Amino acid sequence: EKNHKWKVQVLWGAGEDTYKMFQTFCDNIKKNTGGRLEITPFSAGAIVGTFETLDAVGQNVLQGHSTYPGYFAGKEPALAVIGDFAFGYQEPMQQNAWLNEKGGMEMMRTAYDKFNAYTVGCTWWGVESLVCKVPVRRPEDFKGLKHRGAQGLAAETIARMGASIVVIPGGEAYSALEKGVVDTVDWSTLSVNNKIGFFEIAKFATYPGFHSMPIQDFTVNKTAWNALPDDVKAIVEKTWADFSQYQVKTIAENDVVVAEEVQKKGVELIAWSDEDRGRARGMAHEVWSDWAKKSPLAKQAVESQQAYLRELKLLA
Amino acid sequence: MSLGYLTLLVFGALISALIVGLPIAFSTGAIAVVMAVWLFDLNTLNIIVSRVFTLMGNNILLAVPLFILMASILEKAGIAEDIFKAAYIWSGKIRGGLAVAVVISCALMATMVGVIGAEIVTMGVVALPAMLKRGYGKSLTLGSICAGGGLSTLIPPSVVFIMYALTAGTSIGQLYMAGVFPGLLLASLYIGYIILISYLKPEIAPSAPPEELNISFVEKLAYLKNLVLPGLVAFSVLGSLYLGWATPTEAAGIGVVGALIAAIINRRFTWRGLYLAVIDTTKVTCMLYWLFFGASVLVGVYTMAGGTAYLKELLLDLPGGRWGVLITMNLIWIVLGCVIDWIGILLLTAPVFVPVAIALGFDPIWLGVLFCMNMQISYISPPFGPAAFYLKGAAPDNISIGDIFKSVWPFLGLQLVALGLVMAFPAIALWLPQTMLAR
Amino acid sequence: MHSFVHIIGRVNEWVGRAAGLLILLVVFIIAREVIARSVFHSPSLWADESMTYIAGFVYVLGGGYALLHRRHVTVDIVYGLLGWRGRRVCDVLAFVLFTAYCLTLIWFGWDMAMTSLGQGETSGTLWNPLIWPVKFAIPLGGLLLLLQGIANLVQDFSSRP
Ligand code: NA
Ligand code: NA
Repeated sequence: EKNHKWKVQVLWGAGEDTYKMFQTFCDNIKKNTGGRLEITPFSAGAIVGTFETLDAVGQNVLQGHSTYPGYFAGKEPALAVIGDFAFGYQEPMQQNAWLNEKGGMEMMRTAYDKFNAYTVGCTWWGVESLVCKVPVRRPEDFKGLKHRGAQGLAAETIARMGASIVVIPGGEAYSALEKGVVDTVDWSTLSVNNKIGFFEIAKFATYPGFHSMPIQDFTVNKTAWNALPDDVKAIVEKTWADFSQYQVKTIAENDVVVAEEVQKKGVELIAWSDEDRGRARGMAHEVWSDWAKKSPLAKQAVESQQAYLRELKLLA
Repeated sequence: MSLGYLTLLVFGALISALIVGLPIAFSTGAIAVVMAVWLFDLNTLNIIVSRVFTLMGNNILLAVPLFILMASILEKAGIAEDIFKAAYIWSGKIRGGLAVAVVISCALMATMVGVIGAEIVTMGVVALPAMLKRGYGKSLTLGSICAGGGLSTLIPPSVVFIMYALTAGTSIGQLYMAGVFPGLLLASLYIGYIILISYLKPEIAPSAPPEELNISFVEKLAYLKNLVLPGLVAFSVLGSLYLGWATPTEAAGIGVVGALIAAIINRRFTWRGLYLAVIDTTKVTCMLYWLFFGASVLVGVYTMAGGTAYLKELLLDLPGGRWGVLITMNLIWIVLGCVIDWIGILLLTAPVFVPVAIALGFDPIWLGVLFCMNMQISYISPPFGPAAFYLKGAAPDNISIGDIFKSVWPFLGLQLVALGLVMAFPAIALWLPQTMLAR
Repeated sequence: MHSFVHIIGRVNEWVGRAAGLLILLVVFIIAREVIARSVFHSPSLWADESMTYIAGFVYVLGGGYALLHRRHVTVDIVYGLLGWRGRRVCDVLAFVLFTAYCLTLIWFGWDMAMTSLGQGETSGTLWNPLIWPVKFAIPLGGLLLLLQGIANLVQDFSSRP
């Protein structure tokens, strides 16, 4: 029997904890399949640029990527609304339920299908936290601020709250916040923000987060996937599902420790009230609806998630 | 085939391509193509265009043409010459004073810019012709500009530190602080060397001739007014950054505007001058972009072939304990620095080096400083020496790339000394961030 | 043959000059953006991306222009020692490697750009412009480079010692 060897690129820098976690996943795959599938992980940009992994997976140059699907919103807008339903959910397991019980995963697979790619599963790296130089306690506090937005729906919603969005590449975000080019930065989770050193220059953060909860998918080349025997496929799916739970849990636990640590450094963690979150969700509702117009699949994904949020009583 | 042989083969092929006169930019690219097809298949060539496209969207590169344009406008408008005359007259009797002035200017500019290139090009148009005219030795002149120019990425702000922090998951702010003293250490070593060699070989570092020395203090003051306009340019860069108006890349663009305004106020602006400045900038920048494309595609294919895994094996199989590993890391950086650029080196080595170093109990911030100091070496080590390429772009035609590479050896030696010192005494790097954090 | 060399030279010369002038547009975009953001508090979504891609675009296209002016850095330690015949042998070897690189850029770059065009691919950012025009710079830049490489080779061979 043939041994399969895959190259998979992730969105993480080599020194990040999440990269180490993905390495664990690769080790588990080798162990669980008895070496019939071996995955070599590559860090961000190692083989192709972070925004080019889907092309490379489609061409079978890479056999897979594990990244934020919203990076490919320019190819299929549905990947943005599935990848991060900004201001929508409260915590990852809610979106996980939507994916697995409400047809979300099928939509994601349909979105990736035309690029010759197949999504094995998803995980999350936690709920993101905004780094702020001034306290942002409610939607109105964004008025007049300059906000460094990442891509997509979260920034558009924050713009509706009255912030002006400044587009700054990742490499310059730190300097921009330090020198006051921007007042708030959308970067990553509390622990990553802390590790990069944002709290040496800014003393406020939103926590627990609410604005963004991006998916990390595990998507592979369809030909490579189909070449696997069925039992190996099943093992891969199971190993990923276990890994997904493990990553979400580990990061959530770690965030609690980091939250205490940064507070000791004098950082104020700002939790929005349920009412303010609800109002923010109302504004995001308009942004989601705009995105629904961008493609039939985006429409389907937006409406399905809106319905699910109503079911969860998160949306009126 | 083992990756050890493959690595040797890649180096061999690269050197052969260079020997037959193929430009470095295309040697790296072509070797990547050959390697991709030979080790994998035609399909793999997709990553070559993919990596070129990724670099096209990388705004770190954008500061390059902007700073070159700024320097070129200053030169065409004669402002460069003014700055230098003032510096020369004020530096007076000190032997090698101009070369020392170059290093000090570089260290000062380094607090404004975070990419390599700007200082070298500026010094290349400002200092180089004037120094040669006044009888300074070619080697001392070229070497001090190349080496001094590298300081821009060791003294904060620094895009090298930012990219390292993002790759390694460490604090940018702490890296900035950790870079300060090693940067000053290097600058002092350069200055010490220049003064020493100037006294040992007075013929390569003449002091100012009597007619330029015997001028009254009032006249000397008059020369200072020449510094007002360049001061305006410096302020437009520095001010826009520190006032929070512009990002580092944007500040480079503001510098161009500042240079144009200075030229207009000085009544030296001409459309012809602007046109020539733009043309010069284009030629140099096209050359540089293609160099980075080539290096990037080579790194991509080598990584895919298992280069990263090979580096790991190389490290783990070593005798000599943790220090053996650390020294090997530095040696690998130095060797890689000869043939590829710092972004490529970072992407290739960080996945292995950072976790291994941390596991061995080394401080990742200190490792980042060591990385940055190795990149100081990579800027000037032949045959892929970005500092030399920048300087070649700005230098008069009679300066060859060979002249430049011949000039860097003493400075390379000093960089090794500084690297050794920071390795032996991590406190040189870590004292400042630790003190600041403890506050 | 002479007219071929001449025409290719002219084409790359004008591409280079046009490319050069676009950097002034970048400077303008930056100045406008900095003023808009810091004075009028109205940053744009398009400035960062447009300036980066304009620069990437022009400098890819300008590869042939730099080659026309023989500005790409070579290591001529050995090459410089050779006579006319030796140099021409080297030129041919170098040209083979050079062609492999250019053809890769042309062929696979064309493929990438056509795919992007077919998908109607946008950059996926907040500004979200069409991205294929930038991608077409790669095959085009590769072609201009290859043509200039041929022209330089022809010129070197016709320069009798
Ligand atoms: Na600097
Ligand atoms: Na080098």
